Amino acid sequence: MKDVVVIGGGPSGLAAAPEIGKKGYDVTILERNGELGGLLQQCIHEGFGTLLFDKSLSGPEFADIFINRVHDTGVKVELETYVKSVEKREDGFEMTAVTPKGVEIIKTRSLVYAIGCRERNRFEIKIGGTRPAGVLTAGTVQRLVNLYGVLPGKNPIIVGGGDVGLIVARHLYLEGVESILMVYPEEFFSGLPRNAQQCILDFDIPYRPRTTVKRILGDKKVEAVELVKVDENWDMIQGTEEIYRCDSVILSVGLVPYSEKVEELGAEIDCKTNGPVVDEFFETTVEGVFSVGNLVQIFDYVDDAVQTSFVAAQGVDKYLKGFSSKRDKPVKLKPGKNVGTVTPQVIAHDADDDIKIFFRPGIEKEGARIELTSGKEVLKHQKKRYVRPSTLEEMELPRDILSKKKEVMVDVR
Amino acid sequence: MSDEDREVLCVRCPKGCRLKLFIDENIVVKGQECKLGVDYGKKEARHPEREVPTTVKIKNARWPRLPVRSKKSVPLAKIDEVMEELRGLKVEAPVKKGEVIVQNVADTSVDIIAERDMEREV
Amino acid sequence: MSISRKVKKVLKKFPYDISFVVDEGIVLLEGEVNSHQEWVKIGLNIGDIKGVKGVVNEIRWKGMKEGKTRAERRENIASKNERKRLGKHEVVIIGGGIIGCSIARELSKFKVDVALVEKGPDVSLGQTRANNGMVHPGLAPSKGSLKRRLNVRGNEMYGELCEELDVPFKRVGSLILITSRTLKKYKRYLPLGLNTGFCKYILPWLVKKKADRNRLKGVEILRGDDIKKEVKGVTDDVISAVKIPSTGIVDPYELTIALYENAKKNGVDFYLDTEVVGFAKEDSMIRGVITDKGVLGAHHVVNAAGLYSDEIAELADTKEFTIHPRKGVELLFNKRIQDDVEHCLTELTLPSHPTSKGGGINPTVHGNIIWGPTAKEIESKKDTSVDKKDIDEIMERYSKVLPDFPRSEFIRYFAGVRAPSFTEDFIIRPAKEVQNLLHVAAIQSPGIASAPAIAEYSVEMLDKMGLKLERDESFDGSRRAMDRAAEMSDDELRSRIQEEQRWGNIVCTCEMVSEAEIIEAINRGAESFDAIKRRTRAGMGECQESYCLLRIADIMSKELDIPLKNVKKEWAESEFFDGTVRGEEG
Repeated sequence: MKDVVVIGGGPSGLAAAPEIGKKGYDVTILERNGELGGLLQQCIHEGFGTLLFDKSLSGPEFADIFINRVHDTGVKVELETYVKSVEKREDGFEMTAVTPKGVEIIKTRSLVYAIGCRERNRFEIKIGGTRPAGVLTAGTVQRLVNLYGVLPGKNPIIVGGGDVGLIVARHLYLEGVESILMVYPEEFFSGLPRNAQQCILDFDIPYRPRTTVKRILGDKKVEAVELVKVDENWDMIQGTEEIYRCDSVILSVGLVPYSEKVEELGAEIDCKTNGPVVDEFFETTVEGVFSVGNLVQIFDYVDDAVQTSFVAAQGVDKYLKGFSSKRDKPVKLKPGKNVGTVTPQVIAHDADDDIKIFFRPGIEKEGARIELTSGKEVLKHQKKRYVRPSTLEEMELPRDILSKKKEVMVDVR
Repeated sequence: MSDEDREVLCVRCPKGCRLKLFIDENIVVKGQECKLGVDYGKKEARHPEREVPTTVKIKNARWPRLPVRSKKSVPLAKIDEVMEELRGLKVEAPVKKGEVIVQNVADTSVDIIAERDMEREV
Repeated sequence: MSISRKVKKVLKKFPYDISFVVDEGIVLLEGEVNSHQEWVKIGLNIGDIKGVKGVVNEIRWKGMKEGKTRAERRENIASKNERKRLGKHEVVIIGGGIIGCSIARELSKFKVDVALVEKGPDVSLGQTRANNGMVHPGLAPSKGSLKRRLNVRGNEMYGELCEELDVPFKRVGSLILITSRTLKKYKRYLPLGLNTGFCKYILPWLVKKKADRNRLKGVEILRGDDIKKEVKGVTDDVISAVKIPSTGIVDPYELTIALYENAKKNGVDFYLDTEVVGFAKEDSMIRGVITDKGVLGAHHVVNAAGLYSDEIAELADTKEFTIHPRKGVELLFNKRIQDDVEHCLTELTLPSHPTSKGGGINPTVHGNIIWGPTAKEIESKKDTSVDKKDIDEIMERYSKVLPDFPRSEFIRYFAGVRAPSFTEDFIIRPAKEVQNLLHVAAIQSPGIASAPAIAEYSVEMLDKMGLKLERDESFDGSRRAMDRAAEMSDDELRSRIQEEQRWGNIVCTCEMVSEAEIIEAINRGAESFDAIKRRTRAGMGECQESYCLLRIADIMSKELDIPLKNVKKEWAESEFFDGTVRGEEG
């Protein structure tokens, strides 16, 4: 019986395992690919680690730091391991894993899910038209270009102005496609200004705000798209359709936590984040099952995502020690006015430390006032110079303001 | 605006102010909403520099490409030249992270280094 | 009244100058109308006339795309290939859909030299592919139609056929739901109480009577809680229902692939990627089928070309019917949806609307749920596009049946094009002008259900046309399905991995497909991503290829020994990628 199994060897799993391992537990990482690092290995651009290490690293370099920690703390690693099923037993969990060596049954006292997210596809955003070759998600293109040295086409269109789309645009530009157009429904790029400047504006790559792809045209291979203008609610404006010739469509239209597996295990899913409901130590509603990183919600920075792993490590430690600091009645944390998502969704423990919460604003606003409220009582408030839906915000939540509270709302005013 | 005058986004916070850089003997920055913008604008006006992330072909390794980057940032205007110099370059595994792949790329006095270890796998 | 007089009478209803010729029940129409819709309408009206065996609708509509280039292109290719000998067979079947493949396999039971020609790189790429997989019981087709006879018989044959071919088939049964919307159109004539009574007692009784007349077994009428027990989450608007236990579900392309594999095993030659562009004829006999690869000598030819069966007939100089393409859009839902739909569900609305008839809520053999199809007459046979409007239409229509269904959880939408003729019945008969050509055309819904019976019937027709049929004792009707890691017990999978470790490399995590399965699909002839997908289900899960596409393309590149950028989605010129970084050599 193992103490902890971490499922997923991407950034959040790599961060969680050694943090738990150094407390003396028997920890194993199960990774479905042939190497550790997850998406970081294809994110060859810089900008990782600025918050944690105060320097700008590339994805592989950032991964390397944690891979070293994994090896230094004696964490076991099983590569090419696909977790087929997990079942709860009286004394822990029994997992069935498929590997090129066979089918293994692994028993563990606790579990950390660090399986990240998947990319949204054309169907989820209801792009119409035909289904020819050449419609790819941005992550696939990143992998294609950076791991295989192959391009998606000569004249791609990128749909979505978020960070992944921006980064991919720069790769494609530098690696020699003939033309690029980026379209996105917002008024301005939703990615970081840094990426907008250094990936698009630096190279005069054409872009069109308030525009989306209505239909994909082409029989065997993408031949063109029908572009359409959208209004501030992202509704298409009739009569603004225009045909744009291109040979590939690259979708950077958002990420979704890969929550299917934890859901199967019985964990409650938050319909706002699409990830499991977690408490402040990232324990899901299934006792002994933790969830970290982008599985919980989509983070803007990998630095923030891996911090959930550090906090979860403390939670796993508490759980394994059988040390219960759980409150009789947990406090629920909910998105209130002008807020899309909040994590954690539950404050379940009595402890000394403050809690860092993350929330996604529902509106764009300058000089926003963030309020934590309970009924009509404002428990804490804070000014933010500027908020927008595409930037995840964080805030300290002092535990002392929670006493006798059942439900706390996060509002943006 | 003179030929050299430029517009850039301030990258210091998510607000992303659109800075106008008036470049003369002195640099005047306009459009910022806080001090950070002035600071950033001045730097950006004189010496815009960027890091270059790309890949080179690698033989006998897990992947066909090895990720590499400029060790420090290079002048923005030099990026095309850097890419051109890397075209067709081939290395062979094993390679160690940080290993210099090209010295003084495009005369920038910046080296191109490997971003990761790549074991030899045949 | 003669057919001519009836045709004249029908045409009078339209404000156009349409000329026509009637010859042995075949009506040829010429003229010009304002729109494609009018073209369809006139065709259907003529096709409805009793005694009409086919409508050749050569009426033009305003804005119609010139079809000439297609004919010219074929002629061109034919002239280049008419001297090249590709092969010689007793029977050449044109079309590798479920119909062509069913006939091929049926013929392989006899000592006949059979070939099948398919223009696509795989079988089942036309109508067969985009289908909801329902094996209809044979309730809907009208009395006396060929459709009804073959549907009822075909449905009966399914169990045994699928067992032999190792293809999943489930008799899940269907429910025809009669709701407060069923007679909405007649609201004026029916006060509420009467409407409810009619829907509760008379309508289901009428449906059951029709089912009995079509000799369907075990049909029951359900009311009240009995319906709710059968269909979790069904609308409160439901008044009564008729349950037909013989309705089944199958995966249409899996079945077609199985028929193909088994026919091949029993000696049928398949010419894939081979397009028929003409015929070499002597008087009223076809001597050779001209393709873009050369000529196939033939004693008998079967036209099972689906959407293009009218064009094949025309190439053989025997115009007898026109296919009017009708698009159907379907919406596929995530497997993880817990609200199980156990039966095929259709809501009865009267009168059935021509553009929205058919369609329903169906489970699939793989555990998904599928909504649709819609029905829309379209101008181009190639138009498989889906618009947001279509999706919204499906959502709106079926949400009424299952109001609490998590309808936002769909993972894919797609469209197929049906191939009906204007008489709307199947056309299975020797060609009028060509002695050795058998049309098996205009096979639309319930074509899947009828397919086994159509094959049987087609062979009878060939027999009558003089094909010598002697049973082949060496026929082996069994076929082994692809093994699937997802369906194996742990022990089974463990021992497979011991033999071949690639069974332990899971490349599609949504559907749990291993590398070994990808390779097995390639060994069974798949050369494109979609062909692999149909055989393994890789990429069919929640993430819709976003994880596995590149991983599978990488395996294909190695197995097929082609550069990654040349990996195809389906057809020639459907490569996923193009070019290498900085133009470097791969």
